[in-house]
Amino acid sequence: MSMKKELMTVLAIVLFVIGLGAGYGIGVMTVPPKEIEKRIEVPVPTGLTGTVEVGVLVPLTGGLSSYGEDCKAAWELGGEDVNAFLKSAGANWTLKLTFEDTATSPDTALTRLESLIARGVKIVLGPMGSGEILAIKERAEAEGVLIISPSSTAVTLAIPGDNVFRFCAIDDLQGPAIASAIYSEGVTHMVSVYLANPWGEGLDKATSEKFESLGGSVLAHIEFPATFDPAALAEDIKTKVEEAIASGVPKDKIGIFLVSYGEALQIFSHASGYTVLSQIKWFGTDGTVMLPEIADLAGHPKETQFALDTKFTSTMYRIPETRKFAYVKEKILERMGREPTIYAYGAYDSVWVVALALASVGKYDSMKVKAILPQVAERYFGASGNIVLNQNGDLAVADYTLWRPVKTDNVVEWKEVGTYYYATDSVEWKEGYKP
Amino acid sequence: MIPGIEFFVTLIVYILIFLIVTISYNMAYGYTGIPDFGRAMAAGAGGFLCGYLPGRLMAYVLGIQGDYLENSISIVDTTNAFLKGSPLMSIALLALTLFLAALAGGALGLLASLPMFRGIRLFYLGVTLLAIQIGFNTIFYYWRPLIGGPLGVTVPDPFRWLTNYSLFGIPSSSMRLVGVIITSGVVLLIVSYYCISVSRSPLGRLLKALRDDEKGTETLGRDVRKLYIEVMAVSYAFTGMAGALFAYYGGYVVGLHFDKVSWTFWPVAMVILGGLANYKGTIIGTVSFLTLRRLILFYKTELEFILPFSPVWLEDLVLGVILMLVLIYRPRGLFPEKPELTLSKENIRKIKEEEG
Repeated sequence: MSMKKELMTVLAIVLFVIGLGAGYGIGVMTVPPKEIEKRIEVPVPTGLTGTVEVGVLVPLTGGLSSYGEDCKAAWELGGEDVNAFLKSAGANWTLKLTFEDTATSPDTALTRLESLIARGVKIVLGPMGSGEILAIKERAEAEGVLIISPSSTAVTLAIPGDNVFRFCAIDDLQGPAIASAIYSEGVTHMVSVYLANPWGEGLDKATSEKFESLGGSVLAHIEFPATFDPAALAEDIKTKVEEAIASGVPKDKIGIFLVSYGEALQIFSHASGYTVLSQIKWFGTDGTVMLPEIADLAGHPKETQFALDTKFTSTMYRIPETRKFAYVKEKILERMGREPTIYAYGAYDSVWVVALALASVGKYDSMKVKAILPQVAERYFGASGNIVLNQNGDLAVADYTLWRPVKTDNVVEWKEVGTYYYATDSVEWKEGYKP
Repeated sequence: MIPGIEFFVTLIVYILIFLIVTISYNMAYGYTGIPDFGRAMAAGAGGFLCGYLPGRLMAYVLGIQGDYLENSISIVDTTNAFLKGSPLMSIALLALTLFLAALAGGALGLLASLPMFRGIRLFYLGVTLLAIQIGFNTIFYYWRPLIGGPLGVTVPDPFRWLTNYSLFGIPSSSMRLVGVIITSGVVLLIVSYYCISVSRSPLGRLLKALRDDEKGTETLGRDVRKLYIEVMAVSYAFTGMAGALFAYYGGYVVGLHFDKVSWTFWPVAMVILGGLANYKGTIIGTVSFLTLRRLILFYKTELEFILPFSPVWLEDLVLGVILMLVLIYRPRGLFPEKPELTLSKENIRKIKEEEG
């Protein structure tokens, strides 16, 4: 084949691909609308019938996979419960959850959303990370797809009127809670050490701002990447603390605010090598709360002792312990062999809220569901309590429980030591734990 | 269930963008033999440029004050509202960005070739480029002043003005995708024309000679390092444009984008599937790989009841198995490389007849 012919062949293939799409588009447009609806199995407007498909974007691999597994179990449980309810109510439709793994990657999240859109899906539960939501937001808005995340907390995504709802407390709620807890412990000078991701940055910012507004002073912001040298990080923290002490700040007025997940274990392991770091108070977040390794004297004696010495206090979004909460906790414990993280309760509730909103609307119309979803959520009382959303579609109010590893009779356990109340913007310590 | 139009539109967008990547990669790997495992970096050069430049540029043009990264979402919203009513500015922004993305990609190609000046052997170059690419993404993911660090940054939409129209009944909200398809198609035609022309020219045969016997080519007086560097720069420039188009398509970039799996390993698999140093193979490899991948994604839930495992894992399993089977049974790809003919078959036949 001559070069010209070869070139023509390539051009023909390229043009064929473009023409295929254009031709298909024209073809679809000439098909009567009812046939399109039938093809993509969108229920007819007279009421929901058959199978109603809702997509679920969940990180089953990658950095957030352990949270993803928990939430997947909660979504599955929610789907089963909703379908049992629909059956008992004699409804003509069932809910089908289609799971897609985002691999904690924005690229993959977008690909998976595109696949769901191609299936005619207009309502998506998840994804979990703020970065993943940002990656799919443009396409979701253009296609009228509704997104309900159980765990995205970045303040940047607090946008009024967009298609994103978040059934969890975002960073600008948790930040003040932690800052108030730190300040009420008598700490006036804080070193903020945070993981370099949207969650870490958001919490560093929100907490520091509140801490400074209370009259405290942030000595340093130390960022660390997901792959880091814990020894160097511990040394950095020690240097900042020693500088503060040298400038005349008493040790009991200095605190370390640590925003991390399991990395806390490595950091504690190296920080325990410096006496001065064991003599000041440390604070954590929902990323470190209930971390079993730092309440385990037998398995991790050095790290656990460090947590005890520093009165390591972490915050967790407070959920009223209702029957539904206990039910979800027990069921997921059965399936996973471990208690779910806090986000799983919001994930479970999101299935119910979407199903109830769909039933109210009576058709598979994501924009109508979007319009009534806040009202449905407010009237629903589920595993995570009462879901009141603000104008940005995020949880409007949240109280936080303060937890700390406590040693009793030679056994170390995470114990509730206080509560931050959003309404009064104050911290109430339990008896025996008052500063 | 039959896929809706969204399936085909999205598939075409991916095919066109990835054809730019694989055709330019084929020039570097298939023809010249450079084992480039840092290809994602070339796409990232263009993509991250879209995160860095157009938004800031438009903020300056529109006189929007304030920290760009802090307020990128609102600034890009304002920019998009402006671009929606200004087709000329949109086209100018798109053309400028694509040009600069090609420059950024080309410059990065030059930098990525530097290890060759140190006399590094090609085998080690592949691994070196892979390491450099990971470092490149890490910098963009953690260095906040560039594209907002871990939170990334939204990208202005130069196709937004197309949503004012509705062509052939295509909903106006989908018209921006038509813009992406047309632009990608034009870029692909330019890239294909260049690469195929090179492959048919004496330069193409020189590149193959270089691939097959580096020392031999050198002894014939050719500056092999210069050739490697030129190929890398041109090839990276083309891939940089693909990265820019993808960033505009997605409307958001973060350092996690343009990762090694999607933008290096899968394109390598597409090229190997089709056959090295063979543009027909590259095109068919890319089209069939991406179509198969999308079909698996689309239909996997229908197979839920017959699969012994969760359909979530089906895509990687099937593609992995197919690639292994191709490597075992057709190691030279679906369309093995053939000798390039410098004359048309008709002319060769005529010469044979004259000689015969």
